[in-house]
Amino acid sequence: MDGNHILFCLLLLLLLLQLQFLLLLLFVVTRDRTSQLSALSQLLLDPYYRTLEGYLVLLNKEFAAFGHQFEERLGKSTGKETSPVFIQFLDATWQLIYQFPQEFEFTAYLLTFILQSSFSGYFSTFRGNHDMDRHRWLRLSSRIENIPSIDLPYSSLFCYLSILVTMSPIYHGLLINPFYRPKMTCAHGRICSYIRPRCGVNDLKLWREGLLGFSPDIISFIVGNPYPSQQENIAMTALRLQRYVDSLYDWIA
Amino acid sequence: MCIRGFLIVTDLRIILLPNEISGSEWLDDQISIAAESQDYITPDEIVTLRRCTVQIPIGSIEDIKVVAVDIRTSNLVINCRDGSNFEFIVHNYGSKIKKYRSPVVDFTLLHEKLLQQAKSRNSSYIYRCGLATDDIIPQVWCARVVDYIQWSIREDCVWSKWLQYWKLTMDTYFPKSESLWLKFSNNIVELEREFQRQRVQDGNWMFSEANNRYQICSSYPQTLVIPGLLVDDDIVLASVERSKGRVAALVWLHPSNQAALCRAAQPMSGIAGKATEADKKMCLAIKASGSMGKPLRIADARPRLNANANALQGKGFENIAFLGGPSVASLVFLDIENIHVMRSSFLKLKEGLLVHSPEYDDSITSSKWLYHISAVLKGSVAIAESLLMGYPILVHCSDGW
Repeated sequence: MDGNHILFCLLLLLLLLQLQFLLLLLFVVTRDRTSQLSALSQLLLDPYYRTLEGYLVLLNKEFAAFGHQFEERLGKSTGKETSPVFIQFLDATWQLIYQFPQEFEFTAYLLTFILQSSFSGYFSTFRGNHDMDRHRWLRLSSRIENIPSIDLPYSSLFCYLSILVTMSPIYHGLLINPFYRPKMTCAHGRICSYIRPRCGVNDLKLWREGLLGFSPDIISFIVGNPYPSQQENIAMTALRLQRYVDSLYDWIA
Repeated sequence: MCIRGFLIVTDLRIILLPNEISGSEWLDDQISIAAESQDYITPDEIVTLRRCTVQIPIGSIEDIKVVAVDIRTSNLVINCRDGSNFEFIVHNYGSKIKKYRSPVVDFTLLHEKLLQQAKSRNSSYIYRCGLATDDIIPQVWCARVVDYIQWSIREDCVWSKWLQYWKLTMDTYFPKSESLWLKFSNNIVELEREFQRQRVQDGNWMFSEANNRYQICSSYPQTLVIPGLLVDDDIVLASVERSKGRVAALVWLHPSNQAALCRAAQPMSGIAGKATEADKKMCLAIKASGSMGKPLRIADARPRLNANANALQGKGFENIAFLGGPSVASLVFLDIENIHVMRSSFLKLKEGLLVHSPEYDDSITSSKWLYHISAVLKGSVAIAESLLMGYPILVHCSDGW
């Protein structure tokens, strides 16, 4: 065998190895982890993200602004890239809420709400894979549907949630955790408060309401304020109950 | 769980209107709603006046299946993409609804057996209902509804109708709320506000104009925060070295030790681990911004095998020796599996739970769903503890999504 033959065999071998690895590669692309990991670490460290507003800001930053492939992951296009990555992130948040019931201003209801809203097609937040896509789609849709651009913010889930919590005592009661204890802040307003979860498989619980689907206890979550005259009564009752919970905390302190 | 009512398709969702008073199956006014809906698609406004127990947004429906059980009864199953399923036992009263004002519904043994089987499937709720149309055969109803759903999703009708109804509600019930909906309306403003809350400019960071028209990366936001030691041109050069232009950008800054959490995509280093000065400058700038002088920790979310396979494609992971060795940077693989493994785990979990009750641990453990959640949580804890100790972190997976 001369040098050329050996070279040829070596090249062939290299080519075969590459082919094998390329076949492997079809199944080994790991995407979407960056959003999950960075969002969860921030949730563990910064107590602002454990408030309702902060959590929505976190979701907006890590998934909407920095990009998450909602079109593929939620199964809207072909279905081959469908993956429960967003569901997994919400599940991990639920595990944290379960392990630290006093640390989070919002309840698990918020997570089920966000999960079901992401699939419903009602909100522009989950359209497109990133901000540029979303803006383009919104501009196009507003021209076709003849919607003035001033109305478009309504289609953001985060905007919808912040209005619900402020204006409707029913949703305030469902979304706000009465056992939440805000952290004391220092002079410049920012602190770092680390919560360390138990991560072993045996320490985690199955998130029934989210994964097993719709619970009939969830009331009409779209349009309508069906009981406007009862809003005040509900608000007063909620305030009284919150005061009672606070007094219990003072008593055990 | 057995609720009796009418199944109605609106332009936003499929809902079940329950019978309000027990004793008589069909009330006059519910029959009149059914008769009014000449077209089987009812505008959502009418039905919101009533209490609904089940609502299935049209956008989340994956498929609808109808199986005829006997001449008067069919089993209708709706599967949704988020994992929920609904099962309805539909009684065909046909087009002569008005004739059955107070029917005696005789449920034979077969119907009870269906109910029992359905109750053993804890994740599914069973409802007994009629259809709010004149269609005699649920199969016809089903075919029309499936067509409607596919059309409305394709034409984005669901989204625009929702917007209309939402605006109507806001104007009717909450007329003074304009100032509230301005929050989250503009991502540039929101992100800037968030980074100002973190006081990034007090530290060694600054806002960059490099992506304000999505020039360097179409999938990144317009607001980017970069180390103060760099200028916009450095970012443009560094973005070429990262997959899809997803250059390292700050997401969070520790309030006291100024350790930074940055995210990026994999570098285009290839099997030889070649790196460029631009990327090295970026990494060193991130390291220098921490006030404790600790080395940069690079967290690669992939298993090492996947990273090597990506390297053969011309991408890969950082070359620590080129960056300056272990005193400057270190690399760790977090071993989290890919999206296809997640999908099969989720499907297996759903399947297992549909057959057994959740008390059976086998279906949960064999799908390894909790194992994957555990892996993600462990990775986050590792990152969080490094940040607490003052190590700047750069997280990436393959495309940095």
